[in-house]
Amino acid sequence: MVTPLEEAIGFLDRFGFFRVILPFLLVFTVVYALLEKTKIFGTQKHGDKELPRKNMNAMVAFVIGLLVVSARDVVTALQTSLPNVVMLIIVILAVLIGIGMLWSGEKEFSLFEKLPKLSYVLIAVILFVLLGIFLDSFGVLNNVFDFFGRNYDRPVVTSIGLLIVVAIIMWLIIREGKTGGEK
Amino acid sequence: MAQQTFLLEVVKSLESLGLYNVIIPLILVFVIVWGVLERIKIFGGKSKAINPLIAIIFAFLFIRSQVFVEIINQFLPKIGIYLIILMGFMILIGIVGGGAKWTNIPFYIIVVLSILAVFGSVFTSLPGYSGLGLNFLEGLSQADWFALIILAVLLIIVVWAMFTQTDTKIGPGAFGAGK
Repeated sequence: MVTPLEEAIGFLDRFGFFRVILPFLLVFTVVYALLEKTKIFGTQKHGDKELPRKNMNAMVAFVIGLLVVSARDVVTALQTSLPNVVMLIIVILAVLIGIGMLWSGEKEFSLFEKLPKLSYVLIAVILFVLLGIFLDSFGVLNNVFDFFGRNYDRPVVTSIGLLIVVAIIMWLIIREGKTGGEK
Repeated sequence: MAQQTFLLEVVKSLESLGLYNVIIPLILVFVIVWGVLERIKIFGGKSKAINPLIAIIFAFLFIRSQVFVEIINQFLPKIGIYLIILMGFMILIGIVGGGAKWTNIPFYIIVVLSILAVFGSVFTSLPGYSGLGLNFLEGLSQADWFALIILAVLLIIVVWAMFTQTDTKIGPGAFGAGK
């Protein structure tokens, strides 16, 4: 059964709200905010304050936003990847809530402080998942899986595996050298 | 059969309006993304208007794909049940004198349990899930269960022993003098 609010979402979808307006707004906002933050186009004086050049930043953000909206593939990739990213955020939040049950509440909750090693593993997992999400949104993930599936016993894949193992061993040795050793 | 009450009728009419499929997920995603953006300050400290705008865009893009909304609707109640079980456990521990400040092994166990619970909840909430991955448990005999439990207990003892020996001082080893 389709509810009235779902019908409203359907109407907005047919209108182009999700294909044009939201991607444009997102890109415009992000680019504008980054330009304001980095002050790439310099600053101008307003009284005795140095402010970023708002009109220039807004114009550049507007143009980039329109260009992104015109690229269908990018918009589709945005539409498919962002819900996945949000899902990932919610899952991580649920894990943190579970762990937070044991937090005393005297200090701000910080997993990095409590479990630094687990946090590195978590960051690596998040990076891999994000990479997978964005590759999938551009339709490349299946090709990557196909490539590794077909060539898992060929020199290319085994060389990549060997390189990863060597990199991990080197990282472990360097880490040992930094943390331990003679003083 | 559950008795039909006035408040249940209200909940049903809100559900038929689309509260659980549109409004609640929209608010949830909006608040979470806004909260994270405010915390990490990715656009600098003066981004009061930008963070909520990005959060609402994320929220709208999220509710557009109803598959994710369905997953959320099934997965979050399971997390709620897990949290209630965990809280009940902590209350029981509290009766015998344990506090809320947990460290070391019990903390790590709860971390692992939380990760397993969340991923289990998500996995069982995925569309098309039909006991996939857990069917093998149905064919286990009593002896198999017993063996599994013993294995789990042994593993816990080994992990416990490993963690508790970290503070002991290491003597001179075969390959050099340790301190």
